[in-house]
Amino acid sequence: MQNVIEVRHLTKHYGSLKALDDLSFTVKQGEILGLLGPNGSGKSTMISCLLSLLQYDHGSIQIMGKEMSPDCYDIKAQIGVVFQEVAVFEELTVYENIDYFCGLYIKEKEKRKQYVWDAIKLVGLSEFIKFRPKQLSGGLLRRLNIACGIAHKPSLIFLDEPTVAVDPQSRNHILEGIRTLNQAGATIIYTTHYMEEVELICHQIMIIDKGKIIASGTKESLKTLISTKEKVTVEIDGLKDTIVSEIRKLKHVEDVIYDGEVLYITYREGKHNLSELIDYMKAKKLKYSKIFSEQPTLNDVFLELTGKELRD
Amino acid sequence: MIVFKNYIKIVKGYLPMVLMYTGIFLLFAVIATSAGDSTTSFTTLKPKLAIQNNDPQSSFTKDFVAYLAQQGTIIELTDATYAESDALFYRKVDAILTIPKGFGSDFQNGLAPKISSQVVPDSANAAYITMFINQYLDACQYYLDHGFTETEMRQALQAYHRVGTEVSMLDVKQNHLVKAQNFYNFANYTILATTIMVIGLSMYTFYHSTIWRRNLVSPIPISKINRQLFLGNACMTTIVWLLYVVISIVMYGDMMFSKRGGLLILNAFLFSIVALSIGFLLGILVKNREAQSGLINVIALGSSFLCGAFVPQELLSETVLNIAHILPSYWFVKNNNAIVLLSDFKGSSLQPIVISMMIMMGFVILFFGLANIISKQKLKKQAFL
Amino acid sequence: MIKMFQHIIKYRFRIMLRDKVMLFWTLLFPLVLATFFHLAFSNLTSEEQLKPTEIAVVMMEKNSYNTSFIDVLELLSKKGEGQLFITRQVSSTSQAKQLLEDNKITGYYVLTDTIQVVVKVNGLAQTIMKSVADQFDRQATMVEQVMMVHPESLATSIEQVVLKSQNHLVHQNKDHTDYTVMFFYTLIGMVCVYTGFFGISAIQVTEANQSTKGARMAISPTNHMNVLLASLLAGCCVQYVEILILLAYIVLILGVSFGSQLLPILLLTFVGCFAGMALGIFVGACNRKGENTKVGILLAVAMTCSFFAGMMALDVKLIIAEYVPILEYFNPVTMVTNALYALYYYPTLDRYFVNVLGLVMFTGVFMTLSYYFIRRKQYDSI
Repeated sequence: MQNVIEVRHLTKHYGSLKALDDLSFTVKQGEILGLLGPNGSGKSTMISCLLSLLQYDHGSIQIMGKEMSPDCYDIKAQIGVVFQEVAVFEELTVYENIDYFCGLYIKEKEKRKQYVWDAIKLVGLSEFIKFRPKQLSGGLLRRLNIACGIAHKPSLIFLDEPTVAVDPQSRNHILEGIRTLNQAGATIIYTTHYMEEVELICHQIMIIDKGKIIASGTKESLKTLISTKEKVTVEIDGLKDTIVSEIRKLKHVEDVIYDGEVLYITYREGKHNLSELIDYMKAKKLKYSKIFSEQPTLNDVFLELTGKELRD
Repeated sequence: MIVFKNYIKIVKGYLPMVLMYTGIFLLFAVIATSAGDSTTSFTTLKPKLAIQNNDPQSSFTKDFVAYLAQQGTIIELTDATYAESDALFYRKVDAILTIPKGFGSDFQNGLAPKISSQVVPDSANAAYITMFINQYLDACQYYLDHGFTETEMRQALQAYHRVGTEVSMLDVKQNHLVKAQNFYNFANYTILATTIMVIGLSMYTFYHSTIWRRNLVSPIPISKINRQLFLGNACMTTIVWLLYVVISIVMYGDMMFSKRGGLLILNAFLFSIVALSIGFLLGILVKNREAQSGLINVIALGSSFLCGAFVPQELLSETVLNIAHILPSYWFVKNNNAIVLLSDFKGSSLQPIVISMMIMMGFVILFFGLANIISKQKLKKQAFL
Repeated sequence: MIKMFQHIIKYRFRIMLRDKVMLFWTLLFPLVLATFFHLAFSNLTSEEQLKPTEIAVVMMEKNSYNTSFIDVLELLSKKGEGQLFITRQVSSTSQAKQLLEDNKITGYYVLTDTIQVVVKVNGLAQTIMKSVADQFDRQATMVEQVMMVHPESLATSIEQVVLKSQNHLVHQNKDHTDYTVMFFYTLIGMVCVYTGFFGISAIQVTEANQSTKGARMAISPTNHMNVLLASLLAGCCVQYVEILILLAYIVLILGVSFGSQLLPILLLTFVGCFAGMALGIFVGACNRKGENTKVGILLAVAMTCSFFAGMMALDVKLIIAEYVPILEYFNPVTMVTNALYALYYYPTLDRYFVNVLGLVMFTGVFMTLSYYFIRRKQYDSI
């Protein structure tokens, strides 16, 4: 599999602020790359540089084996972008909007007509083709935005937070659509704040903060990066301090916190931590109302690596 | 008073626009009111004449040109090719007179030479200029016919020049107020535009946007909200009116403190209330912000053109004036014109002015009434939501 | 590339024609304004026409001199060409004074042993009243003079006593002296500048640093200059048609005269559109404020240019033309106005062509300045 995108030592300053700090990474053909990072981390700046909209100070960007520049029309013809901001014409209908933007890529009328209909079906807007953007709800508007960006069936697609403020039905539709596009052979760069989406569809994940890549890999490999592996929560009253100290000494336990009503236990490793804990409490005849276990999420990964929440 | 305070905050946002319109208006006011006759003694009107003298050596022609300089104001035209025609078109001169070569000697020899003139055809100025030129040359011809020599003629003509009918002017102070009259007539446009704009747009914010929904669910009763909004609107109107009164006092000084000046100010206040009622109605009727903007301009400009604010009422055609009767601006401007011409303050003299004021108040009642009915209907239909 | 052009032009037409707000300001509003002008000015130049003045005369002392003067007044009050007055005789000065105060008359004569004139304000009608009285007095003086210096000339016949009146002037009237047409010309000029609104919206959706739609254009495999050009051409077309509609309305329905040379007018408005478009592009490209702000800026510029072209007060135009004529070539509204005036008033086309050339140069300058901003394909920040 060849590299669709190859970035080496990309650096960009906004005045004295370093927006991108020596970024290097590759994206393989057919991959869905999830791009995570808090606000101001440099995601949008990086994408704009990749698309040759922004000038950068150092580094090289190669897309499909060629050095990217504003005049690379052959490469641009194969790229599709769905911007975070909805960018459609208020005066045109759904069909006309998609046709207009598709027409910048596909010149043959018949071929374009087919592509436009394919895009409409993909995003599920068949009933709304004569509607104007003003008449669409937020979710439908986002679907239109996507259709405008991918109607020309590009082989490389950038999606910048496409599901912000979108109803669950639309969101599912969008995610399904992305999977379909990927199955058809497109490489996808997917930016989002919603780690559930990333966990759901992305093959590779890249976490960016302050213009630097702080972690990249599959979600499993990322989760091994942090020390916390499992969290168990128990609702239990009146636990004595001695019991708490004993629990702290159990196998694989990293840390224990008890606030008088709820007991929080974090484990470093281990596969049977929950059942062993239950056995222990049975043996000690401790009565609890609730008990559940959580695996680490990407948010945990993020928190530990950056000290911030994903949705700061 | 929270709604009122909110209203003031919103309106502050429109301050730059109000200032812009005021600035434009001041410019117009300065230009417009720099004309306007404020002399108290009679002076003959001197038409502007451009003279091309092709017979400069003749003493007869010299005397004639000297006469013309007395009767009119001589304007020098530059040599440019288009200077002549332009000057006439733009009324820089009222006539261009060309004295042919040998005019003096030809005239004295009875050859009846003609002076060619370019004038605005059929104009009153042309008639007057024709009159005084012909009068002089007829007199010269008369003397020549009776055997006068050039010297004798010149002496006789001196007596001719000495004749002058005494003209007196009625002692009227209203000449001074003509400038203030023009000012307040012009103010029709800006009072309408600014008042309606500020009120209309802030009403929109309260009645048509999502803010209205917040109002509906708040613990403050709707009637209280409406009252506070009205108070806000009334304050705005008063401020706009005061602004123009202050400007007029600054520009025209003591005149504004006379009885007539006071009537002008009162008339403007009443008209501001009319503008308030129009703004109120528009604010409730029109949902679209851009539509409001378009309507404001059409109303303000239309009223000003058709009712005598830009072009004086005396110069408008009958048809236009008849149409204008249905517009409140017509009565405002009519009153301004009448106030300035008041010679006394007897009941009979003040009557037409009071009637016009009452008509303006009638408009206020009409517009407020309509606004009330429509807002109640809209509430029923919940059309605000 | 031609297909791309067609594709973009087709959609730009649809977008512009569906933008009701823009259509109102560029088409409907000028039509409304032209109607207002027409209504307000319809009577204006007829006001200059000679109209008989209402006067009164009070004969305080009855003698032959005063009776002769009243005869003269009645002659001048005869209906027909040359009627100067509408005269009424009243019995007392207080009656006359009341009429004057009530503005029912312009002035009145008091005939005692001399003729006196009483008026209220200064003006042409009042000056004519004085002139008539002067002339009457002069006639008497003139006969006296002849009797003093050449009495023998009076002996021949009684006719010789009477003053002969002749016309010593020959009028060469110029056609087309209706100056209210100037206001309509400035309106056309203003609407030409309004083409700039379409320029602003074209820039907004084509330049990556102005909007996200612009970014979409930038990442597509199209030369963004071609896209811009197509949008601008579409804008000029739409506005040109709107100007033609306005012209047709003003000439055919309102009956305002533009002279009779159709082709030069069509060429002029065409060039005027491009000048307005160039200005709009510049306003749109040289800064990154929102579209509404740019529209506001262009509107202010259009108003200012119209003001200095004389739309609100003709005197302003005259002052500029007299003292700083070079400024006229910086104002596209003035150049359109002057070219239309040249067509209306002058027999030759040289002044017309000077202004057309001025507009072409104006377009060139602003397009060049704009190019500096729009040639960029990459930005430092968007």
